[in-house]
Amino acid sequence: MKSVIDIQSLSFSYDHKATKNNILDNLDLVIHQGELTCLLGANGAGKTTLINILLGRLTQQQGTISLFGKQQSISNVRHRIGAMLQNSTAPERALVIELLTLFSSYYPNPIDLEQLIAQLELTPLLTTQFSRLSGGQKQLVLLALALCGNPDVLFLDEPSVGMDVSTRRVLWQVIEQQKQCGKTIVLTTHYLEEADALADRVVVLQGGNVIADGSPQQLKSRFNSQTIKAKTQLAEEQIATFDSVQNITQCGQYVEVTTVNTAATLQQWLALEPELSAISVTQTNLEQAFLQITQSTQSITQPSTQSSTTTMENVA
Amino acid sequence: MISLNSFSREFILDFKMAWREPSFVLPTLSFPILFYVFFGILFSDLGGGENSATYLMVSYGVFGIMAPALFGFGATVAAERDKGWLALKQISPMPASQYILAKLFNALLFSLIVILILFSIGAVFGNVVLATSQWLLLAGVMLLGSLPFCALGLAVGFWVKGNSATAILNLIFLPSAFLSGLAIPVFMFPAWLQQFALLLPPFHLSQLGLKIVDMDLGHAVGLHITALIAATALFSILAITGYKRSLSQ
Repeated sequence: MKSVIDIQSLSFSYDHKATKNNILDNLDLVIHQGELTCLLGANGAGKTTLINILLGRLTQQQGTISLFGKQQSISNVRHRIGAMLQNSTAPERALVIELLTLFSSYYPNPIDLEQLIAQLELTPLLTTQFSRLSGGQKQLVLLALALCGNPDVLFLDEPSVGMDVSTRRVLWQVIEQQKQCGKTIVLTTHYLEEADALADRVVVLQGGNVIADGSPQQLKSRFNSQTIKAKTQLAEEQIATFDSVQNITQCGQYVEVTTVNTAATLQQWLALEPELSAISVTQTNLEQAFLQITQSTQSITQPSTQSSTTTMENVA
Repeated sequence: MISLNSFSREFILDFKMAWREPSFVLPTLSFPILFYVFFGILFSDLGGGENSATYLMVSYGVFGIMAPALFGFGATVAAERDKGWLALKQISPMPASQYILAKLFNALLFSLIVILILFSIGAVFGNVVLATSQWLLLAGVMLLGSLPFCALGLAVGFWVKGNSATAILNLIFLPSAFLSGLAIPVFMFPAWLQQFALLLPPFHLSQLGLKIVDMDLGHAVGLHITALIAATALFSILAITGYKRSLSQ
């Protein structure tokens, strides 16, 4: 497969007073044509910084980036790139149709607008001012702006933030369609379910480095484990003593226990607590795999990085 | 490369959005006109109605072109930068010159509207009588003279955060207009304040305008033009460094 983005030993840090804050640390990453890569990682792991460097909005201190097979300035290839940025929005007083026609006019080979509008279900909103749209509708309009130049590479930085179920369904459909057209897509999200459903490849960042890289299936199977969910009276410390238990998460009145041997764990558990109720067992999903990846690396990497300490709350 | 189609879309959308924003349109258009009607036409006591109607038409003209230049540029650029809209445009292949020229043409268009209304009121209700060449020259000087204020607005837009930009612009706009003699003529100021006015671009622009109607303080034309060009250059440099800074934010 042809590489579209080739990142070699990329480093980026902010200098805050005396302390140097490494955001990206000697990062290597190759993204291939037609691949949907999902960047995962807690807040501060370096996802958005990486995207901003790729888009030429930040300059790395070290390392090289090749775009479309050669080292070149991003300004040569802007017409081949579309992006939805975190915290970027459109002016309130513009109508949706005005934004779309304006952005289309920036590109040499724009996509057919009517078709795009139909795909994104924007037809009833065309003459609405941007300020009057709901959060999800705004995201769809911003997605349309990212797509209207018919780009080869699409950066979507948390596109589903603020989306309700129906707008997210539209987003997913459009991303699938773009994938089928052979577009290269780089996606970041906090919804692990989204990554699982859409991504060909998941790259987990932590402390500015790639700590896991593979298909969602591979990442999940790396953890050949199941999750037992149940209502219990026992304390976490007691559950932790059972055989094969890897991880315990409290979920309201339920507890989720990750184990590599469901039978052994359950046997001990039921022996101690025969009245255990509402038991269900599932294969580890991507979210649980992600938690385990980031937590197991946490003990190896320095505990000073903010990303490690915030992992739990951001993903839960 | 700017395409004409894309540029005209940019220009028209900017104009429509400004027009849909009452907090921009109302003060920009109504303040200079109300002030002029009030002080220049209804309650003129500056030694003869026609003289003061002419004098104030020029000085409120300067006041009138300053607002669209400062606020049209400064406040909208700062807001669009804050909202990340500028970032999306910077990522697109659209050249920065298109973004800035569209805003410049809009500031000029709003300035032209203000000037035309002021001139009409002056001619019809203030009995201002000027030769055609004087009217045209005056309008031309006002439009060209808005360039330093456009550059200043742009510089503030790129350097100051959205919410503070309007406040900072007001701090620049009102005192500099007042101290340049746009409300009360400079010759009524104490001597040291008259000296200070020489540092202010609105003073030089109003003196250029007043020279056309033979009511200026008698400084050389070259001094005023040099001062305005220097101000434009200084503010443009500030704006360009601010723009470069905005690329990475």
